[in-house]
Amino acid sequence: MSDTTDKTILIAEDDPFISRMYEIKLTAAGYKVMVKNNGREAYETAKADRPDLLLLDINMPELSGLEVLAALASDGFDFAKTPAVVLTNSSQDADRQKALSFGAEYLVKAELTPKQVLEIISSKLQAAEQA
Amino acid sequence: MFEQGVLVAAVLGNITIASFAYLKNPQRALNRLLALAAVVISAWSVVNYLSLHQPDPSATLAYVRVVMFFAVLINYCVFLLLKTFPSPNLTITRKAFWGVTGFTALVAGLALSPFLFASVTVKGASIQPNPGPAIPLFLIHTAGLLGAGFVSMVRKFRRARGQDKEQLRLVFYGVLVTLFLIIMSNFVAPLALRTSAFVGMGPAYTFVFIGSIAYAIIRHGLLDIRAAVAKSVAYVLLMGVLGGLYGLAVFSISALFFGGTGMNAGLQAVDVALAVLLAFTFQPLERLVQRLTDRVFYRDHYDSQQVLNRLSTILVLEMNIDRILRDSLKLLCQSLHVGFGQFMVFKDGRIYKVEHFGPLPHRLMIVPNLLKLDRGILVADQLGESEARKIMASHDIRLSATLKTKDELVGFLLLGDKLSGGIYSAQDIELVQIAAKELAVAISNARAYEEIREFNATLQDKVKHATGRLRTANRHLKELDKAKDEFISMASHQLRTPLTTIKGYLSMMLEGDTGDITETQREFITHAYEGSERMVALISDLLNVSRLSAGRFLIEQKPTDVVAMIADEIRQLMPHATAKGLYLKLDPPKGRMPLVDLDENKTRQVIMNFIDNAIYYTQQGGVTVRLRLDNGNFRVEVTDTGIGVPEDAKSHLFTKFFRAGNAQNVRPDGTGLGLYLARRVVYDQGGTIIFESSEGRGSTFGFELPINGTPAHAAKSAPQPTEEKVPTHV
Repeated sequence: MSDTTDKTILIAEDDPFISRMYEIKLTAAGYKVMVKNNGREAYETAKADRPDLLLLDINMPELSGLEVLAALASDGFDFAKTPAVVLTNSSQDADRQKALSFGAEYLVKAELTPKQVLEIISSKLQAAEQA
Repeated sequence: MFEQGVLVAAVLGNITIASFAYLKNPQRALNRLLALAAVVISAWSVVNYLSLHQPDPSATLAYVRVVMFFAVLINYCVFLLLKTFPSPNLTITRKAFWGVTGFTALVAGLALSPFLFASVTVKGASIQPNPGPAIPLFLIHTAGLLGAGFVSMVRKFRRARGQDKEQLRLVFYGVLVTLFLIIMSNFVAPLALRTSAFVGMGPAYTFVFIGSIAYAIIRHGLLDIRAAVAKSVAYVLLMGVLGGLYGLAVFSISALFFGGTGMNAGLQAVDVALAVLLAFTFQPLERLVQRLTDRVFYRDHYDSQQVLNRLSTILVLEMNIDRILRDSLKLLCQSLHVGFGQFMVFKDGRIYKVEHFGPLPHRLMIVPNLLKLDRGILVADQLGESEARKIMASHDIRLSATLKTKDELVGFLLLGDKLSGGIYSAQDIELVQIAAKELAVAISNARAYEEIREFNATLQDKVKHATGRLRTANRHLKELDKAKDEFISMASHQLRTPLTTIKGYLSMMLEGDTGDITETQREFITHAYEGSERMVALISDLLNVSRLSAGRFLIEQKPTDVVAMIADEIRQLMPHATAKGLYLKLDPPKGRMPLVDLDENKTRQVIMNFIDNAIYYTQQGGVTVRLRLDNGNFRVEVTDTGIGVPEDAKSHLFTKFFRAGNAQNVRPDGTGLGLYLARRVVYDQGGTIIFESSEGRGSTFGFELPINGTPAHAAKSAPQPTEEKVPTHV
């Protein structure tokens, strides 16, 4: 894994086993990782600390991942510069459509290994850097 | 001699009938009255004869007084008879009886005294009694009693029904004929023909009167009497008319031309001429008289054959039981001149239909009572005292006819009084008898027809009801199906979360994130990881199927580099093939493959499914994935050297949850969803499935998709017309 990066990734995930899994993988790859277990904290952190990428679950306490996206969007958050990845086990088309409407990537957790998620994140960050 | 003969015959006849009536039932006042009347009339006849043959006026006067005495008694008897008849006992009140009797005794006493006839004047053969002061009293007595009796009888006649009416009619005819004959012989003959030759017939006429009453009492109900009476009245009338005309002609001609003097040659010629006239006028006059009497006696005449023909027409043309009953009942009642008629039709031992003609009955027959009438044709008047008669009387029924086919009792035809009040004639009964047979068959058939019609209606109702139930059941099933889909959807999401953790951590261990692991550990963890992968795929399939049935299976197309996509799939599946010692190779297109519009995720799954299956079901050889560009279509074919698909499984292969027998042996845990979803994904993108196989030698699965997106016919989540059948090669 790459070890020379100063990118910060915000993980919003209420299941500690899952957030830990990604945290380990991403940290090992050299990313700085912030973990929040509810939507409201995730939203505030995203606004305050300006991470380079958001990794959002949908079903969370306080605010859902999609609501976080909506709130950030209304605050003028630019998802082209700061890519958002919705990572969920809910594969409802409505959720998917909504995520895509914010320009976010929509991924199903169970179908991917943490390594595959890492690869997707890396390519997203590269794309954002070029943009 | 002639007069004596008639006298003796009349007296003997009257006495015989009187005795017969008396002896038949001496307890009944009516019979005793009749006997008394006969005796009195006979006595009168004898004394009357004697009065005409006395040598000196004083003896004649004495006899005339006795004649008047008996005449008073005759009036008394006739009054009582007319007043009583047809009741067997006196109906007159005690007070009236004694009043009339007292009055009669007074007038009878006066008749013997000089107050009625003071003396007689004898002029040759003519005896002229000279009336006394009591004559008006005698006339009042006679006119009063006879008038009252006659009025009483007419009133009874109008009220009477059936047998009573018939008896009254008989007496009525008797009185009428007697009166007519007496008028003819005692007034018309002496005045018009100037002969008192028929006066001597007087006693014979009384015989008609007494005879008719006796007959009515003793042997009522014999129907031919009417014909005999009608005929005799007709002839007497004819003779009277002819005699009257003839005599009148002779009288007036002789009076006009010959000044009323005796016989001469001219008169002879007139006689001859009149005889010829008589001969010519006889027949037309007879017809006229016949018609007149027929009108009186046979008012309710009808032609049986015509009635039966009309009945047959109704029965042949009509199938509806209600109309058959209505029309035939109307026909019969009108033809027979019956005021009230009724059909009672049975079905399964119960009353099924009732039809009325005329006024509605105040109560209906009940089945047990009806069954007591099950004896062919019953005429109330002809029945003795019996239960059947009582039942009929209590329902005002005069005639009952059973309607019977060979097998069963269909019902009853019940008829009330005839409008004339008369009784049912032999012709009536014969008609009903024939009609009943035809009606029984026709009603039985119509009833069967009705049953079939009702059965059809019931059947339709049942079908409708069943359809309704099926609809409800279908709606419930749909609701259940929806609930099932929602359950699968929800359960799948819940299953995925722990699965994410299991799969994620296992993959990280395999990737060395937890440090070095032994080969055995790697092997075991790999098994566990693959298990979790299969479960993820399974859940994905389930979700897709559930989306399909919920109509939420959406295709999202975007330009895709299919060669790279398939190469990636091959790379991922290569370890499986290698592990089984199989080759897995890509046969790329000649030249450049353009980007293809498709739903990458779903199409990738289809291809992965094809390759995965090919590896699974192949033991030797391997799998070739061929990519081609063909007429603007992108084609992919996955060919293996595996077990193949049995012939009988081919047509079911792409249906939901179907699994071929040999595939099940190789891979017991398959879901039978992969090919079903594959077909759906391909079809929804406007493509066609490629499939050919021969069992034991291998299969080719693939599809063809248009490069430039979905053609019109493949709208998103459109229903699939070929759910069960898939062309084996397109």
